[in-house]
Amino acid sequence: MRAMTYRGPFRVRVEDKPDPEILHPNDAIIRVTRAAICGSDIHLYHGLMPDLRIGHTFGHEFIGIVEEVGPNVDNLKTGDKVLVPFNICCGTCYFCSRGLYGNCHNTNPNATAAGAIYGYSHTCGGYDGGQAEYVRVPFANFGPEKIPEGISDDDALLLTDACPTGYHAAQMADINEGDTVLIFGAGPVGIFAARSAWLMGAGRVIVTDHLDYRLDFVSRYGPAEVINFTHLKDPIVYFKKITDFLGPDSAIDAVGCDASGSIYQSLLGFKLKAQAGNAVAMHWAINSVRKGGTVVAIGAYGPPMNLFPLGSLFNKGLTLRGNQCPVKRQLPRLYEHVRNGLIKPSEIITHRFPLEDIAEGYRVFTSKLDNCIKPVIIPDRAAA
Amino acid sequence: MAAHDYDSERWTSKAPPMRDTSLDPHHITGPIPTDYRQVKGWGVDLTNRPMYPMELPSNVMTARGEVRDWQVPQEKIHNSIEHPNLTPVFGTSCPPTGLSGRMRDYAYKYSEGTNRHWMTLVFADRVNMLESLFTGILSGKPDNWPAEKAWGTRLRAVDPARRVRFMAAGAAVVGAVALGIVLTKALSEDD
Repeated sequence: MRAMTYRGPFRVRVEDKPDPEILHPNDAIIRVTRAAICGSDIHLYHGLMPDLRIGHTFGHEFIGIVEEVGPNVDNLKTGDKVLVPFNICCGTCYFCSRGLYGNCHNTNPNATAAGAIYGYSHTCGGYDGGQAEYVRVPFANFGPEKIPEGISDDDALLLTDACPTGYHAAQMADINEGDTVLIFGAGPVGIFAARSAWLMGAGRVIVTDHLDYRLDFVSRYGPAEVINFTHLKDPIVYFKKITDFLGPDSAIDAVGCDASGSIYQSLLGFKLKAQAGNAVAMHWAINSVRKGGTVVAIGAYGPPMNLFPLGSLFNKGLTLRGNQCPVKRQLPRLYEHVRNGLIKPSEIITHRFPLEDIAEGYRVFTSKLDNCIKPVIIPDRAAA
Repeated sequence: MAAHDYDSERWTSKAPPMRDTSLDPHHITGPIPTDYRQVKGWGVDLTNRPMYPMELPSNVMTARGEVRDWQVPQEKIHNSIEHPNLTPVFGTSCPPTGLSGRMRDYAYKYSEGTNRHWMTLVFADRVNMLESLFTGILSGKPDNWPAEKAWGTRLRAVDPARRVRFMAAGAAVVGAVALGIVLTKALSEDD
């Protein structure tokens, strides 16, 4: 099959790889019809995740057609069109049984801190991902879902990660009626977090980023108040100032380890690789949120350490929450929201690339060219 | 009791002047109704949230729960020492090879709480990249950096005037180097 492969920081190409096989009775093989490049794939593309091996295939946002199922898979059959949540989860371990599908203990041998994710390095289990023609899907009797009536393929694709993750962030922010929510990052997750914050009852939603075209989009899609932080002398003082010097009730870091905005953090995280990327969004979130407020880490950080304002967290009495989104927990409610027109996930798609041109897709997305918000990858065999 | 002389040299009932709280000129407010309750879908999940409670009730008390079938490793699979045993399923992408593979073997002897584990893996990733440069050449599939980095896409996106300046600067550097080589050769022949 043809599959995207990682060749080193900032380099990817499409190669022939052996077709995936059934390796466990609960496996399925899916022919990918659409995949997306996620903002967290950029952390991989930049080489920031540990144990990222040359030849690995990325892609944790994909939908497709069931090609083959293992003998224990009884809820899917060949030809079913499915969306595959990005968490690889068994459904029965200590954590899955409690609904924490992002923390499954049975699918990632390489680490206990992180759950398993398709195409997300060996730190997340060493599974090849969906930016390929075919992909192996473990525990297919639990993870994938048939795409329900009324949900388009593009919407289904965005429901595998970006949309539920933004929705999850808004839930973790513990929004009370009328609360002010500040979101760092106007990428897909930040955009969906802004939309979701209103559903949770927010009174004010503010989004900051350094890209005007993304801020312009979220100002209409959320809707939201937006401010490009590069115009601000001191973003933290500004966010205090516009919230009566209290600070927002909740702050969501929808950026993660690939942030901009601090030369010091970039030097340590990107140039010297002395910490897991640049944690400036988390610094700003902790320092700008009001005392007793809630900070949400939803942008991806790698497992190695980061310089982190622990003193402010303690002195301000903050609640800090973070977790991979357990997609299956969110899907029933999100299907309703999509059908009722309250969230339209596919509206954020701006670009489509054939699989063979995936290097161009990564470049356009990473360098924020051509006003790109969300690129979708279409394998050649998608229509086969 | 005498009336309290409220304002004095030491205190006053007048608050100090407030700092400016106006919005920055670049602060844009989207199409948000004056009454935020009018935003489409406002509050539909105020009390109905899929993640509440965060943990669902369960009587599974072991890490793995009940597992019926176990995938059998066909190649080396690294296993965190914080796991009780190998997981029932695992990924089979890119088995460890070469020097980077040995470094990964070493890293997995240490727990996820140690820098030795993570920084060795980060370093192994860089070694793996160097290894791949050689194995790519030997296997007849050498790396193609301009295509893999999509330099053409990047260059096309650059403002045309800047692109011309960039290419002119590049040509000037190449020309200067070529001139230097020619002059050096000419001078050495004179000697």
